[in-house]
Amino acid sequence: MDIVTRLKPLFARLLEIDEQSIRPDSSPANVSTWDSLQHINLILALEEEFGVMVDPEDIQRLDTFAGLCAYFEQRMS
Amino acid sequence: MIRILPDHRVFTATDQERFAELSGDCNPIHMDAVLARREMFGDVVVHGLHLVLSLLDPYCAALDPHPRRLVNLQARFPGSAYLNRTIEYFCKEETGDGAKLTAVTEKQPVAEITFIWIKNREASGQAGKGWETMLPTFPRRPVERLWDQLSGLGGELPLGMDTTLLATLFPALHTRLPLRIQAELLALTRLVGMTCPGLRFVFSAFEMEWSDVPLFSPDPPLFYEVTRADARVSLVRMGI
Repeated sequence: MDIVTRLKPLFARLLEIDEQSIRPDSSPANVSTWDSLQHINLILALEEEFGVMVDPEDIQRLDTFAGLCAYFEQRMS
Repeated sequence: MIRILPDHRVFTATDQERFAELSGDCNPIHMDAVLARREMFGDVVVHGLHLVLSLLDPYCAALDPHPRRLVNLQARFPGSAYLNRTIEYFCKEETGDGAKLTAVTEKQPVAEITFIWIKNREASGQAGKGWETMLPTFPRRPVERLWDQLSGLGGELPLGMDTTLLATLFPALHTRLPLRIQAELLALTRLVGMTCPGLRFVFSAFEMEWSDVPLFSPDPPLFYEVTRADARVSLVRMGI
């Protein structure tokens, strides 16, 4: 299963949005439920899902769906 | 959105003191303007649980006086609520057995709660005794812990409250919800602000579920355990 397929349901559940509405450029700017609190929850949930610890300096930088996918894909390769 | 009446509130330092007296959460982040100025919020902030109960109380007051029991309550605190500023209350959604309520200041949500409840056959507020007996055991100063002391930390939290003050501050809740549920909610803020994690910590979110709980007794106490403590994002997760 590719990273996008794994990430989408988790993303949709945490942000309470429809999977179909998730786009590569989905971000706090265009997803109203993606606030700073949910951003932390998202990062922690992804860490648990993929068994990867995000570097502290990357936590705030990872603010698009595409960016998160790329980051976890790269860290897992 | 539907307005809750009263549809706004301004929290004062006196409100904070009375809520601290009721809940036992005297964390200086909520009480001490000098110390709070040096902390992450830059000023005194309203207790998250104070916002939750202050949203629920007027909502309850507008309903019939039938006793109710919460089944599930989720709360998030996406922003900070400061003293002496207007906080507006809204009902975002009503379902047959619950609602979504939100508190907003300067167009920013500071508390969002979603709850499910059922009508309860038994009377609520006045039933039960012995709640005050645990009050003297509550800590008066918050514990200060290092991050590496938090992982796996656990313990028990006695329940107790001044039921007369509860009836004064939240009259509609007091007569409709079982005392045990109100005591558990108050215990949550006392736990986070005073005991674990303690000084410098506030709620970001919580979820409570109630099934077969003793509705009118302070026994058993709440048991808690830290399930994750992450200094990178200043987050502590606990199970109750």
